[in-house]
Amino acid sequence: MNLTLDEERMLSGRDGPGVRRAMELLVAVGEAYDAEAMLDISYAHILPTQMLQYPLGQFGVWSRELVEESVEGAAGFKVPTTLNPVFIDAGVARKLGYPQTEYNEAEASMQHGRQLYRRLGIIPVYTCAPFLIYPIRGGEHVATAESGVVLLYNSVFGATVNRETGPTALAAALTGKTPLYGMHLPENRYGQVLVNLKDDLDPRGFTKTEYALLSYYIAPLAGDKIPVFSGIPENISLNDLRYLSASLSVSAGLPMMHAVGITPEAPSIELACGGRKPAATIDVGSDDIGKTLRALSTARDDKVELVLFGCPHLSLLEIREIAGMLEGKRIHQDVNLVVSTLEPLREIARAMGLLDIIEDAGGMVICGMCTACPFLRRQQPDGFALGNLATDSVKAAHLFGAAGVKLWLGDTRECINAAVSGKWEAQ
Amino acid sequence: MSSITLSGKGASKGIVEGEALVVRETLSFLTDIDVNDGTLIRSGCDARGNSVAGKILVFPMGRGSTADPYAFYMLKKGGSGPKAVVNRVADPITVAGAIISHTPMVYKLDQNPVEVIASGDQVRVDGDRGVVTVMKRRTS
Repeated sequence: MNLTLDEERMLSGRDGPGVRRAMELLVAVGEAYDAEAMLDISYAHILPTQMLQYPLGQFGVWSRELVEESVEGAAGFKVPTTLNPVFIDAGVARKLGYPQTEYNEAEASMQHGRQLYRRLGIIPVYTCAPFLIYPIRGGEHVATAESGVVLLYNSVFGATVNRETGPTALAAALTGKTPLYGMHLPENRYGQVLVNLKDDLDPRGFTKTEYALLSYYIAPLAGDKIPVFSGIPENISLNDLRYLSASLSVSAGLPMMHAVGITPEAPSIELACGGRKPAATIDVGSDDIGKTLRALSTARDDKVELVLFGCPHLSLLEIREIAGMLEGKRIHQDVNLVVSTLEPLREIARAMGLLDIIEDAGGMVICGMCTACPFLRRQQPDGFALGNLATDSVKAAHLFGAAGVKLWLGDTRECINAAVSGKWEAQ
Repeated sequence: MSSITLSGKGASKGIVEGEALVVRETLSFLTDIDVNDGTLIRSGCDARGNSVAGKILVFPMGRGSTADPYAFYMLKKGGSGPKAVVNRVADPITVAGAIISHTPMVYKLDQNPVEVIASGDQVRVDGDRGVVTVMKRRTS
């Protein structure tokens, strides 16, 4: 790779051993992709591993060691840097009866992270939806390890970003660099397979859950090919685009999609595909959406014990929608209802009176916590079980289903009804 | 004993020698390998049930979530990591995992390592120069 003088100096240790290791990692990744040079980034979003994936027990000790080694001697992040949510929130831990020992271990790791990242100048958004508080513009080059927003940045905002890993995103934040490869090169951004909606499928009436199901269905069929959706309404909300795109990262690891008329690079199918013929066409009908929904709904009995909203973190309008549906109602005594978002939005929701409505109904609004992480198999403490879950999130259904949690997947209204009655009503 | 030399690129430095374990499928350290003892748990995989611990792990390419390198690191810290990784194509996920866990890694070799190397072969991996030397087991 051709490195600038500044990059060479980082590689030779000018900015300390952490930055040197970061540059070594970025060079190795760049060489694997035949990148000719490094690219300056304007923003990074990192996974705080000791606060999120590996906070518990011996893993917690090792992840803290790893992060300390990774940032050794660094004066601070070289670009504005935000980070993902943390492992668990004290309030939700109490409410769901999460074991105290594991909570204390997690808290020690989270405390370690809060101090360490603060010293480096983190913008502590603690969310998987950083664009809701830290916007970027089209044409920016960024690095993020939150795969859900990689899709949105590339496909909706017109920024360029690769699906980074935890260590490479941290390395990018410490150096302000990422190797010039993948989604940063125009020729890799073209659509490759066409997604065609059959006549019996009209997305104009879609809920966010249906948008997520549409892309969850096509993801394994697209494989590693960038899909081009035609027939998505041009007035689709940013929020619905979040759900249309998020499923592609969950089940397929894709970094980009095109929605014709919406994605900046996709004014037409032809331009989205760079003038090439799509390698295949994937036809989707309403029965495919229904089958996908049923396959993700793994509960066998109609009892619901936990209703979970906010994977990914909810926007303000989604919190308002939930509050509107809950107003004047009372959540069943055997049900916990959790609404998960980021701190500034919770404060605005409080000012709007939405928190009072949700709490008066018996629910709780949490912020800054990963809605799924503590409940996945790898992390779940012995003897702790969630019970039957209801959610409107396809991403949550995918993650919890893989962890063996029994769940019902439906739209927001169905989940609210289940919260009130304690039972899932079959459609 | 005959030996074969494969030349390619080094992604993560270090020189080690050990017994090969060849996996024909793509691997995610997070979901396909038990972090506690290194057992391959990927369904439908011929090498399932074998442990990667202390082996020269040969597979075509990595895959997985953005947290996958941390799973590689945890496996190594727990003493059940592979001695080295040999890939046909390097995914950033594996490169990052190998580097943070100080595991030598080579890739882009002049012959397909998954075809040339067999499980049980003695293999020397030179991550500094991107060279793999395979000592084939004597066939009797």
